[in-house]
Amino acid sequence: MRDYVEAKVSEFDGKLTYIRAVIADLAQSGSHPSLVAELERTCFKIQQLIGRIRSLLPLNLPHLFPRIQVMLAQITTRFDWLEEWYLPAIGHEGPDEIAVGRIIDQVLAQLGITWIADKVVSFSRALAMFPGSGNSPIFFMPQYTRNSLLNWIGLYHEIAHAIYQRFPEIASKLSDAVLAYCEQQLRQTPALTATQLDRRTLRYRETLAYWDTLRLQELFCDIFATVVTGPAYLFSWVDVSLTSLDGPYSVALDDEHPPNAARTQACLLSLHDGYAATSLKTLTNDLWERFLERRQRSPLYDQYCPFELILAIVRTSQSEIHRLGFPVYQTPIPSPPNSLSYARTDNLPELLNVAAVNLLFERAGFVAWQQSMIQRLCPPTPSAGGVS
Amino acid sequence: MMSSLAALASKATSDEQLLGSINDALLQLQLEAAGKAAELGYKKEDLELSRKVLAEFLSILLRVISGAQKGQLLAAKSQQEQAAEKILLRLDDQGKPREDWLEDITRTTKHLDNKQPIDAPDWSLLEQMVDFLDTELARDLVALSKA
Repeated sequence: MRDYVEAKVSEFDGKLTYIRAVIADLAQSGSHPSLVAELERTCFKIQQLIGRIRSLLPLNLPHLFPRIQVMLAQITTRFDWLEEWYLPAIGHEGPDEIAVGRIIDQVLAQLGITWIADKVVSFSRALAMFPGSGNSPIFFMPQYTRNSLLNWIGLYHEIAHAIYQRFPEIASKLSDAVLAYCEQQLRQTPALTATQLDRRTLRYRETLAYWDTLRLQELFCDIFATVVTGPAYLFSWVDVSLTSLDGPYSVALDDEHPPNAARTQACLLSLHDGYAATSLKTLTNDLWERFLERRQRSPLYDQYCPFELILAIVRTSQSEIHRLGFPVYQTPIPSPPNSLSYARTDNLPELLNVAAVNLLFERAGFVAWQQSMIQRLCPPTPSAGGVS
Repeated sequence: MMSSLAALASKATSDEQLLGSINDALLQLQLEAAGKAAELGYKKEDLELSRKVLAEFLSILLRVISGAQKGQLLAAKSQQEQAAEKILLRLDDQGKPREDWLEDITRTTKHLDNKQPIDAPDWSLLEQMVDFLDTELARDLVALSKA
């Protein structure tokens, strides 16, 4: 075992030298100074673990090998963090990604998010965010996002993940809200037999376990995106649900996402009252209602996602969003046909709401309008594609 | 909006940090027991802190198991409480009654809190806890690779 560990540590040493050279090149290029510092810190932590293993080996104490093995796994995890995520994303970052990155900077500044000091944009997978340590995330998005305004809206959901990670009290308050709901239900004393009461307690324990921090996080991100972008996110989410293979009431215990119907419910409840009578909200609502027609709610959905519980999660999330000072989107949306004259690019939520209105109510002019807005928002770069 | 990447990656990072801190604390106490802690530069304060880290984690686990035994509803809020809930599921899979786990964990926590010598059953329990945390991180990484 000792020989193996010594060999493994030498291998790690070689890898670390290679990665440090890549990071040194990046540092020399002058781009991503904050990210370079973060990557160097990760290398330093790997070096510390390697040093500790090397100091333990001469003791030749076999009962310490399980501890060393955990350290080897920690080193592997950190190498993966660098090699699978950051280095490929940085390596493929070209003018297109940097142009998109500038828009993300603008969005972060408008939301008052100052702790994200750096970021990388990668077109290598569907819209998602890799948070890293929280200060320098990777934003993944399909390359066509550049040419399709409504695809930008999911960015707000991804940014909300960074907020949830930054402020652990959000998770704590949301867990409390679910617990309070379950306890309140259990305090009610209907005329049930002891066996029925036991079953009821078990059901609420299952509900509490279902709403773990991952599912609460996903719902919080939908609520946040609706609060800060208004009906554009609601429409975009309903659009995703309508084109998804999952049934709206389908509860998947192995999926971190709550059912689509619960997410839509949360978006509807989070939308500012000022949009209640707008054509965009009304049409989105009608679309959703028609989609639900003839679809049966499952008993599992009723158990895990009752209206009162979703409402409690929405209210708690809204209260946290307000407490942290994030802006509530409540700007009136231009109506068609005036919406086709909209030409601002300095306010992404407004632009995306207008885009939804134009897509739904001004189809004939939408494509040309979108093209002209994309030209302004994200002008084509001299060399398209990934140039590192 | 349908990717779990962000949530799974932050869980994996937190779980890795927790595993690292518990493993490191256990390592220091094992070195102390072998009379090698000073040789590797660990001071008395480091070792006291390690006892505290392990005792605190076991206390949380104790609270989670006792709560489950009494049928209480508990919300797992902190990272350690969430880890303890996952450990509870693994404990139930071991075929040993929860009462026996409670007894073992209480005993080891007392030894850690009162700076009493850590004996063979304590080491075995603490090593098992690290294995459970290790398994949870492995699951996180598998989920992350599929996200």
